[in-house]
Amino acid sequence: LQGLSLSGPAPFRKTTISAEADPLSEIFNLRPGLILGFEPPQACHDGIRANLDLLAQHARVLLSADGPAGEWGGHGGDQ
Amino acid sequence: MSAHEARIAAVLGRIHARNPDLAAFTRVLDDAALQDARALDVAIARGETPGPLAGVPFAVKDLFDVAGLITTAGAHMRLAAPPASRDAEAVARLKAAGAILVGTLNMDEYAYGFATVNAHFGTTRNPHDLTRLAGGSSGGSAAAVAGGLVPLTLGSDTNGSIRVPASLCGVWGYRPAQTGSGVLPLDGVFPFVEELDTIGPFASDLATLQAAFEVLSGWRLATDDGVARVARLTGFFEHGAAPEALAAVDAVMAGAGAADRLVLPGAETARSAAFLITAARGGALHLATLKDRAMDYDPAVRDRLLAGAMLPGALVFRALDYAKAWRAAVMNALKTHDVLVAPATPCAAPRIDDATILIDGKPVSARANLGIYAQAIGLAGPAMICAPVTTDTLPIGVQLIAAPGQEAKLFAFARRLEAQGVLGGRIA
Repeated sequence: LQGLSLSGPAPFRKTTISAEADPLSEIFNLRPGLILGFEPPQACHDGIRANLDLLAQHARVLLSADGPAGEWGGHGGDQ
Repeated sequence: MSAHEARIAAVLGRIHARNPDLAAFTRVLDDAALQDARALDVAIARGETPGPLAGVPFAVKDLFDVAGLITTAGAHMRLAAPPASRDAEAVARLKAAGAILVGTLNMDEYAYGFATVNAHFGTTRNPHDLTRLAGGSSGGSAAAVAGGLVPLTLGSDTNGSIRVPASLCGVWGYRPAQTGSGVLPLDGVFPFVEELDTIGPFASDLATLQAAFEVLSGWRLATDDGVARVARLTGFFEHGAAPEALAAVDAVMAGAGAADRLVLPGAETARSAAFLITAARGGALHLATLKDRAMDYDPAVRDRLLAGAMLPGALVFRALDYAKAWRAAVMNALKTHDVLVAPATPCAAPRIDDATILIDGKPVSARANLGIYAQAIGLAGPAMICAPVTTDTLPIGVQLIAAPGQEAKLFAFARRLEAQGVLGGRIA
């Protein structure tokens, strides 16, 4: 992924996605217009950013889990 | 003036007197309610048998369709939407049972919040302390009952939106199971998250709650002796809880004479999965409108929806897969215990001017976190009563949780504790 360049309005402007960085954080820093299909108004950007941070916290909890009561562990782990 | 007309007139008078302080009602249907009351009295005079809820005044969260009214879903932008052509199925069933609709109720915009802080329709205040939140998103539904305005309301519960305000306002609330005979109809209800959406009643007493459930479900519950195998959910469901929330569970366990404790591994992850599913579904539902009218939303709701719409699909599918496994794990636990008990909210009602709560000693947003325990267990889809625990301080409730199909045992258990004085609704 190194060297991938994206442009966009602050605070979402990303110039490089590095292989070393937290992949989830990098995903959430993608330009919103690229994902939504439209550019949200500038006034929304700080709020979007704050909510993406919150969602990233929950995503990390989810991605670090094995599954409830070992249910997943006996059926193929991370499937 | 006929008997029911007089009763409804008194109810309407009380609503007009108290609602300016509470901001619970968004519309009061004076003429229609009085007309329905007169019609009920005429029918009774003709010898017709009144329904099981004859003359009971009720009101609905403003996401239920009411024929001739615009369903706002708490959104200012929907004030120009076309009016509903017919009543939501739940509204129709209550009316057919003789209940009389008197108005619509305030909520968080599009049901996305636990506070009923609505940028356009105002903040619903807790009748027990007007400086405090009523909870949400069905805050108007809880406050209308807690304030003694009406004995019965309808709300919706996607992640805790019935159980959170019921707990903070000290009234009974019911979130139905998502499978089995106890499922309640969503027809004519403005959607939010199709995997998690439910509707249910709030009531000032348990008998009214059960009567409403039976009318809404069409299921007459069998007699049950109220003896149940009961366990307290520990681990995640006590982590971060304030002393009043833990004391509420203590009281229920003592009243039940039960001491079993149960840990549900993965509960924190279930809560996160529900959080992500909700954000993604909400974002997808509103994406087209956000593109054209983003600035017409409540800013707090808009930014949550936009962020949700950006979640990677792989993550959302992972959350949905987790939900399936979580449901299986919870239903497995409900094979060894009839009723599980957990706090409904991590604390009593926060102040409106400082809408933060402490989790692990850290201040976090009440709007996003009051439903921490409700959200986790709700993802499994069991039947749940939010029961107000008797206290002389600020109200607080517990979740009584049962497997789909065990609703008779669930209500009987609650009735036994109500008779003991452990549980009971409080009207301010």
